[in-house]
Amino acid sequence: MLRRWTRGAATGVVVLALTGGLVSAAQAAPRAQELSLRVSVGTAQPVPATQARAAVPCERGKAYYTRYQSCIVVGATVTLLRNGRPVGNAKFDITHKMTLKQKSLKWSESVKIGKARLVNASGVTVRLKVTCGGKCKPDNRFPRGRKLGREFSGKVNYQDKVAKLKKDNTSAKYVFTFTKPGYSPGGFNYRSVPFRCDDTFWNRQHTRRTLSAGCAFHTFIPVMTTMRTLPEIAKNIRKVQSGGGHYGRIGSGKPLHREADQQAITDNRNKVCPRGQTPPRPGLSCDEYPFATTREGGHHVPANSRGTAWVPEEEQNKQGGRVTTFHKKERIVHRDAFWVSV
Amino acid sequence: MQVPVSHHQFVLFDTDAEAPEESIDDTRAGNGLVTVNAEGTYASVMTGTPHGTLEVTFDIQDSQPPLDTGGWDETVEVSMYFSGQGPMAGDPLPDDVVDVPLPADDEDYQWWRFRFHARGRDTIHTPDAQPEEHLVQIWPAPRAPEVRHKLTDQTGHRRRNPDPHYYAQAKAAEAASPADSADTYASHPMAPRSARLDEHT
Repeated sequence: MLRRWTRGAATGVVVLALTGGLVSAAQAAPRAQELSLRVSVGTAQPVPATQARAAVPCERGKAYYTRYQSCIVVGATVTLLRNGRPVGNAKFDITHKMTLKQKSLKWSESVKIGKARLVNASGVTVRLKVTCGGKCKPDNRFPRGRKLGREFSGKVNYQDKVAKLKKDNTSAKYVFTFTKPGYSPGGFNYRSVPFRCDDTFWNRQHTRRTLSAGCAFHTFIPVMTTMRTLPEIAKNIRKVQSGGGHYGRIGSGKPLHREADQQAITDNRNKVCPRGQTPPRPGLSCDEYPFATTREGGHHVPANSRGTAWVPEEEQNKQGGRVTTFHKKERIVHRDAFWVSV
Repeated sequence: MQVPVSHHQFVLFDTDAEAPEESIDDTRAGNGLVTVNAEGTYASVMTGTPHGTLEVTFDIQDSQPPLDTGGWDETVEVSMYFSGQGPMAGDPLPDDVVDVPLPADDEDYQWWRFRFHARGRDTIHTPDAQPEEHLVQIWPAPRAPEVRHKLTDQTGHRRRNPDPHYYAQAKAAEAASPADSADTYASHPMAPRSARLDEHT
């Protein structure tokens, strides 16, 4: 089933998605442009699960995004005026599909001007200028001199630079200008979903990368689902998430945040699974939730919001690999938020 | 050298290498000491010690050393693929890893044989027991299948022989869970835009 997320404004938001299911997305770092509490009503049809995993949906009036893909569709109107009175108009959609690369600082986007409905509005030329902030550089291959009418599209290639161990977050700005002989030009602009490139995955001495530099839509909060198939660990997580602040549970408004500092992780772990503890029988290992590798680990959350359990060593093993994989696949850097779904 | 450990393992891996995905069946069929990904670029060595550091000796040779499992509980040999930079070794979660350079150029990727030995995995909670120790012998050699020379500790035995009730639970959990639940999206509204073109008068 397709699950929808909508990020809300400062006070936190619960949104009922048309396709069913309660989705909550109150965030620690709200964004000013978000609308406050609203029910998502629209013409979206439920999308079958297999299709849903393939790509983000594209819907007029919406920016949809995951960690690496976004689709923005803007409904646009160009109005021609004579002596202040409208004498013609063109209506069309502009669709942007951007795919970031997990392990590269180069990516691209397609921009499509949809078929326009023209009412006394022939001969309007479209121009697109793209800029992006920080060290990001666009290479704009969008065709010039094309007119509104038939659908047409083009590519914008991007290249970012980021210093070793650093992050660079920015967005692309699209400036559209429309011209017609005998008329003064007009236009509008808007921005892409913000993205962040980082080169923060290095070994202890900072001599070698553990993961190549890459970029992600960092305001998307990824969901860790790989704990589900570790029965005892999943049981412990479920139990802890059901009480207190429900840290990490989707809908709680309290995601977990990665802690990447080795000392902080060790301190967290030692507080709840102290060294030298002997398991009740061989083959068991102390497991804690929230994870020691998060800011919420150790005693950072109240006692009713955390817990430990003795789980098979083999589950601990697998958990280690899966958490590492998750951090790298989603480019979860120090302090990034994520949910844990069991 | 002292190698960082967490989650009962230390890992040997290359930049961008991905951990192998492992089901309960994979674990049951595995050797109980080391798991390697399909590309040979990531190996997870299972330890008795849950977290901390372990003494691991890396013994790099020109050619295959004689097999000597005396004094070791578990010995398994696998093939791995690295350049002269060699693997990074340790705890990949906070990237707390040390380099293990190999005798080849940094850009020169080739196959190596890694012979893992472990002892003391079972007795980490036994007072006065010898501390857990690992030895990894490495030499250049063409790719070849895994060889299990010696498997005698309980830590490995438990992995190769999960409790039937637990096994059933794990199988059920795997069956219930889709392989990759990536069907969540975020969204925000994009207001319609308009432009006006005024005729010159």
